[in-house]
Amino acid sequence: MSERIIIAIPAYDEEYAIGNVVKGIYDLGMDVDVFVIDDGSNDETLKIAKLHGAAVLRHRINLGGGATIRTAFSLAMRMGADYLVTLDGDGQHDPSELPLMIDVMRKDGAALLIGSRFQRRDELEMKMYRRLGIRFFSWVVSWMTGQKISDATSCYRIYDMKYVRMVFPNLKESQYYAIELITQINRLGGRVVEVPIQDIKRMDGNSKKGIIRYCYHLIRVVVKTVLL
Amino acid sequence: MMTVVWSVMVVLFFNPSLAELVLPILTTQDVIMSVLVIGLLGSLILIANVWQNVAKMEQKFTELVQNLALNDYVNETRTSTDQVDELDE
Repeated sequence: MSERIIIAIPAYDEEYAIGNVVKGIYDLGMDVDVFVIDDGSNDETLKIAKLHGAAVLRHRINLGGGATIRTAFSLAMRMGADYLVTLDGDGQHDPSELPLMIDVMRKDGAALLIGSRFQRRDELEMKMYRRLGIRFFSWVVSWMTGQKISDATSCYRIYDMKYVRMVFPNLKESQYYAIELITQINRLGGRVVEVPIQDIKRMDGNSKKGIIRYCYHLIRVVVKTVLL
Repeated sequence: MMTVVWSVMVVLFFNPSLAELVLPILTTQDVIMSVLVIGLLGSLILIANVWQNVAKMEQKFTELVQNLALNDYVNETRTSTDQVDELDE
């Protein structure tokens, strides 16, 4: 029996990029189900995603990226998926890297595969404070789990749904779940592997992450995870 | 916290002499300081409680919106499948 792969693309006001992302996936000719999860966009994201052939789920209001990925988990569980791929709807992740990532995931038998932006340093265009912040949190997560992780916050990921099914009911964070999820997968003995990915500069629009709020929540989740 | 405060109130109500045991040890300044510190701690606990409840409500609200999104999708898929079936017939 062939395995079922679901690709979930969280998107919020990404009308300029979402079409290319969906098209990029379909152009690969893979046997996958593509879902755009529209996080309450005010623009034409939903319409454009549908026009390009993606199935669409819509949050009636904006909940944030983390909550959107959790919706993707629920969807993938309901649909009986074997793997769930998540990539950003803003065009920062290159869909053409997917076949290799899925191949590594299958061969390696990992619980979680992360596309790391730090394994191709020469191509990385990122502000210094952001780079330092991500490296710091990745170091903390590596220390907590004993697994070498260079990019704990990357959203280009493949999840083995067996682990997600086990971990999902215990996730307490509705928004900043990434670190909590890695530590819980680690507790179950699941391996986290990384492959290098390109970080494409966004064509238009702005990042929706407020840096201070984002850092505060990451620190809060790390402290909570260490203490509990 | 509120349970502790009310329990102390009840105990003192039925046995006021207990308060007299503690008061002579404390000077007026100590009493004022104690009241201030207890007040401050109480406020902090109250704020933490409110914060926690807001977070819980936010989580429930998030889950509600997520479930609505999933149900909308299921209903939409069902409707379009029904339409295709009707067309086939």
